[in-house]
Amino acid sequence: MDGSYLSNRAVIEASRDFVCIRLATYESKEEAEVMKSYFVGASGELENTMFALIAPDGKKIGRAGRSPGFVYADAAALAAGMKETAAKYAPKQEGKWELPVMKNVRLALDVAACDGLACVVSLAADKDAAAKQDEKLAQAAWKESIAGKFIYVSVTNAKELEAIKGVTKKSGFLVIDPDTYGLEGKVLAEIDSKTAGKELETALEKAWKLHKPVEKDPQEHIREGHRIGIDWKTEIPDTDPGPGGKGPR
Amino acid sequence: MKLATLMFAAIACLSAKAEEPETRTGIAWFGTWERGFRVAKATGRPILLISAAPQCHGISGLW
Repeated sequence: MDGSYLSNRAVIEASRDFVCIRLATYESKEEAEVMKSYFVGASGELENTMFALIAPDGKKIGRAGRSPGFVYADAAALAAGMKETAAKYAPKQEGKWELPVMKNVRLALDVAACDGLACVVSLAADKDAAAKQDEKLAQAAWKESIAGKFIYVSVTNAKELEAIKGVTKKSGFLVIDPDTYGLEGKVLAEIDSKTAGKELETALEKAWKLHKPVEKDPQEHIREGHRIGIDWKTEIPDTDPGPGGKGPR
Repeated sequence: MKLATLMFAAIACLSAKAEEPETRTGIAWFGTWERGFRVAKATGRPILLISAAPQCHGISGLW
């Protein structure tokens, strides 16, 4: 994934007028069909990465490609293009910003490790309690001081937390530090489920400071990962034709 | 006197830097199409869609 465009300050700022969706390419059959409906590369198969701007009704805007670099010359051009696009849509004030969750804890830990971020698990006893908790967490998650600083996941089955050390609460907001391979995690902070509003924001900001991202050398990470036997299994076959994928050459 | 003033200014500068708020942030991503698309329709906002594999050569923890 090309981080140079997406970590650009102007692009991050422009992204605040968008709903930003980042899909893990080979982790859902249904989502694979969505991605292919917007872009299929020269191989005809779903490739490792894709990029598109899409209208709120689902129609593609302009060209899509493997990455922003296929469509925009540089990050500044992407930011300008995004601003121009956003200006064409009048936001609905009453629209609700839901909690931006990952599909499950396994993916959340992995993505958090990839991003160098901590993960917030909203752990609740049942679906009704989860809905109330997630709504409180969403209100904090979209505050400018917190947006983009965590990966989120909502859980009602405590068995999903088996790979996480230090969980003591049966419900609440758990801030988790993933290990370098995103396969395990440890609790940085446990925030009571009754916490809300400004108090929740403060607790998250405090927990965010406890997480210290570690710079990774990609080649060393892969070499060591192979040495210790890491072998991530995707939900659907990896069909990327490039050297990092397992698709046909 | 001049030295004391200079030292005071230097300490004030260092303190200001130490108290500077951490502003590192990034794009806030939805991790599923279903939820993100629902929010886009509800809010009228356009979508920035990307995909990437959170593993490289079968090794997780790296895009």
